[in-house]
Amino acid sequence: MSDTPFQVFEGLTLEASLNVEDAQIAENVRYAIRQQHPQAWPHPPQADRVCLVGGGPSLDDTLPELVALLNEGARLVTVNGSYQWCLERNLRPTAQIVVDARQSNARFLEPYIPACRYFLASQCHPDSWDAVQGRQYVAIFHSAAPDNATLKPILDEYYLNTWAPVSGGSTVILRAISLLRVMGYLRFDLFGVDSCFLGDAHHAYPQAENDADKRYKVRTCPTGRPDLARDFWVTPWHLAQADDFIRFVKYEGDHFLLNVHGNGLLAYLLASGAEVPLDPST
Amino acid sequence: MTSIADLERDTYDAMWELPQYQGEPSPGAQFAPLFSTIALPRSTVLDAGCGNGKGALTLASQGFSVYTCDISSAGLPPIWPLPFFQAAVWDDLTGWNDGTYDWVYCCNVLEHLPPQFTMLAVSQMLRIATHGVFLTVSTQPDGLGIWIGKSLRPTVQGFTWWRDSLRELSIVFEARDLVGAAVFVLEGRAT
Repeated sequence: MSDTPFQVFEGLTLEASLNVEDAQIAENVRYAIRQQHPQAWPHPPQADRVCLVGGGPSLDDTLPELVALLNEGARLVTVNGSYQWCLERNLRPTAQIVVDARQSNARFLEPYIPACRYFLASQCHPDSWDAVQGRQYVAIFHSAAPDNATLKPILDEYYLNTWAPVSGGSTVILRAISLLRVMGYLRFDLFGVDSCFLGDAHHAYPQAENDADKRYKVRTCPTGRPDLARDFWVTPWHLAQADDFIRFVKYEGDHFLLNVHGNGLLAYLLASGAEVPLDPST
Repeated sequence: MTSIADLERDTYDAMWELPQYQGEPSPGAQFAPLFSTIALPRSTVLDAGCGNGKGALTLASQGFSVYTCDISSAGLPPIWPLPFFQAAVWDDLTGWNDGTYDWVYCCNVLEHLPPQFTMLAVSQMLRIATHGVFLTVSTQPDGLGIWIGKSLRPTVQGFTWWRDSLRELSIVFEARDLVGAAVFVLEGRAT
């Protein structure tokens, strides 16, 4: 998580912070590491293509592209609510990844799908760990920088200094890419990763937590090409996520191949080279 | 006819002749500090597969009452100050101390056993442990057996294989994946 406040618009700054207090995260980690699960650990490069599915509103539009890639043998990896979205469409995830430490995220681990791999961050709430108790394939990973002041002492002591940090990015999708990269995967197709509204929808499925978010209209274009400008409706967290995503790609982009599907802000930014819009057009 | 145990003894008699093997770090000594946070002071401990004895001596220096056994005594110093009996760890291990111990301590031994004897060995340890069995295993192939033309770790398995197999035998209080190694603490069965 970046400590640098993000200038969204003139007069509006978004300061990133964890949605759970450090003390609660430490308590969650102490519980998680005692659940007897294997740690996710660096693997040699894997040739498989990964369809990583977020919850953005473009999912419905890009479903045929997703199905086509899966039929070609790509692995389906979901995060949070996209797990249920895929199951409702008879798409069986190879893996489900949950990072968030809040108790409510345990709902993203139902129903149980045999042969699905469940990757939970050690900071996940005990209810999330209880939800996967007894499942065949569950692994723990540590969503933290190597020098994380909260987690490092706990993990060093328990694992006798043998733990692998999965760092980079403030959202579950970015952490999922980092995790999958650590596990050797290099080729990613992203679905439902938009960082904007499409129509009135902030997600492809109901997510009441975001219904009251304030919306802004922004315009962006590649440098010197106003004719290619596009307007997007966003929340401040959409823009922060987009900015974080672009910085992540600039910093880590040599380590993987990325193809963002859909017609959202992120796909536009990556395809056009436009900057993250910082000025509201209305 | 030569038994599998005899072949194993010959293997380790040969290995302990090699300076490279003698110079390997001792897992028994490495994990002793962790064990001392779990077991009560002055507990009786059988170091099963004690190797060069460094782990047993470390435990003794921490105040445990330590007994030792191994399939080969070739790794031990000529003068060995702790009780020792020679046995494969899948044998009956009731050699000393009225046949039971508070703890059995077995570090990086099971992966050296033929696969068919690994869980038998754990069962033998559980039979003689009143409090528990402290196990560590390496989950990586060895690099030294090449000196005598064979693998020293015929049972290289992943963390979940060991965890799930051990759960069939006892309550697993603790299972830590140290990536490349694993630590397990099992409830003993002896009364």
